Amino acid sequence: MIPITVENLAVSYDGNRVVQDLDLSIPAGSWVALIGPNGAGKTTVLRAIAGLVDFHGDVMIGSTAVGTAPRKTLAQLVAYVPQRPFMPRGATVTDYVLMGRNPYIGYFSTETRADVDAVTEVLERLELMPFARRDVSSLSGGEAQRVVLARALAQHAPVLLLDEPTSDLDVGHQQQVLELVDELRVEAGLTVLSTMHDLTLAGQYSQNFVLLDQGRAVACGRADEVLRGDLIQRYYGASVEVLSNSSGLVVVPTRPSRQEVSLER
Amino acid sequence: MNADVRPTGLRLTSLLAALLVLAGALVVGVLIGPVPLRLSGVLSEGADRLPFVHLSSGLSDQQSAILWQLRIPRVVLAGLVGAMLALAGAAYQGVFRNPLADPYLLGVAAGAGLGATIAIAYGPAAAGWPIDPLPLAAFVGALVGVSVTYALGRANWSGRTTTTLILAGVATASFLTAIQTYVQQREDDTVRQVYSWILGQLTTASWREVSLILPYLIVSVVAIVLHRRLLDMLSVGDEEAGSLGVNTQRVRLIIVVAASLGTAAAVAVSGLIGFVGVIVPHTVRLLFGSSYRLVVPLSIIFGAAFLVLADLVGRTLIAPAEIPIGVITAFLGAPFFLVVLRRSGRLT
Repeated sequence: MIPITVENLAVSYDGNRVVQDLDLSIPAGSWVALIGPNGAGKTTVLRAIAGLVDFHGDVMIGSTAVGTAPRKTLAQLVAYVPQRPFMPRGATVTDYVLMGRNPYIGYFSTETRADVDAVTEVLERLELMPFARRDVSSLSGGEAQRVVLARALAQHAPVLLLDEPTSDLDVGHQQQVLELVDELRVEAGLTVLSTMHDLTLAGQYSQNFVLLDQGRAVACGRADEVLRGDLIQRYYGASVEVLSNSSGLVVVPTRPSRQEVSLER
Repeated sequence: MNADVRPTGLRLTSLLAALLVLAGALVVGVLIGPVPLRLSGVLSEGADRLPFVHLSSGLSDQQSAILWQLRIPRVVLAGLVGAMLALAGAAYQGVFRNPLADPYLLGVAAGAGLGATIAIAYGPAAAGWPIDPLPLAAFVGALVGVSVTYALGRANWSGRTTTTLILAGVATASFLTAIQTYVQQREDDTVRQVYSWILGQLTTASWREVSLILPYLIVSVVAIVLHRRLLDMLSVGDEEAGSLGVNTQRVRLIIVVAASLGTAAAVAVSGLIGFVGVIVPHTVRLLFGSSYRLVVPLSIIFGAAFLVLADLVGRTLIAPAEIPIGVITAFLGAPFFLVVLRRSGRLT
């Protein structure tokens, strides 16, 4: 199990600071949710940790510095699931998941039996065997999400970054994917960092929360410390009620009271 | 190992089918011409050249000379140029993730055109030189064209998008074509020669051209073939490929340089033969699949076969006159281009 440490992270796009002064300490084997309104910089934080954008500050995956490590080393440590992965037409599920083995394949080499076995194992674990020969561009949203997750798992990386893993899924598939990630986290000792729009789901699966606003962390801690009506009101501009039930906190949008609609004309 | 979990790869049957088509094209290309040759005669001529084999082919000395000095070099050159253009097209399409990318995208054609025009307009008579300046000038021009495109595109080419590079290619091509047109108009007594070069031609094919371009083609083909798995990785886009451990900028640079070098060599001896780089890789995709593990090797083989046959049509249809081979490929390619455009438009 490997922790993630972020110190003083700053990222700019075309001179605009989208993330600044960010410190994160993500314990090995835990699941941390990055929350915050649209444009708060959540995706950018994930991309920085995956080494996909230039940044200032220090990002460490265990003892490996993201800024200077070679691409392949990073890909062996961090698997990244983008919010809208590209599903290339003509690639089979097997070919696609096999891409996750790239960090272990020599530059001019092709995959070995061991790589194919690793793919087989992941496909079996995610119950994707019936899809092995399907074209990835023909999959439904839920199937595609599982296939992308399979590719990430084939990387055998101890850190899993998920960008809105449930955004295109119905409620049943949302639960399935998150349950699966949680099982895998426990089984393989993965450290998971995910961005989440759905605060209730985030509350059910993550141990810790970081609330971002305009590129800065404005709150972090356990669910009851971050998923608070006043914070959500202030940073999301949303009117919500935070309830508590057996599975955790439930964030319910409430409609601001308004004058009764007159039926008279 | 589960039978369903099998990575896409080149099947032996597909490879044999492709080689059979190529062999057929080569044989037909060698046999048919103004002086018809018999298959048995050609085969025994070939066997006779093997060490320790002595056969009488039944071909006259004149037929033998036609076979060895005209027919075979021309067919071989057509095959090499076709293979290179088809492969370069496939490589560019993979690198730019654009199904309509062709080997002339980055200023190779315009640069070669300018080089050739200058050589034709201002060069001394070819006879006075130990080597023909035309292919050399075209080759240098092609490399200059690509290099200028890079220099312009690199400034903003962060590796995140390829649009800047393509736009730089458009700008470079327009600029070089403007100079080329200017030179051509100034020296209008050579306009016909320039024009026939631009339309593509294999009429002067000889063993010298073959040996001239072969080293570049070998380097280019080996480099691209070795990158076929990484070409597939690029299909998910730079960010995802990067997160999977691919140094996309470096891979792209190597493939583009290799493809451009090979294209420059091909263009230097054949002029501008268009559409091969679009027609062949797409036909391969339709028939066999879109993984570059198939598209790369099969484009080489079918590209060779395609251009041998196109050249055969060009030199026999209105014999003894010849239709420039570029006209044949464009005639087939333009409608094909539209089909590809429609298909890719529907899918994106």
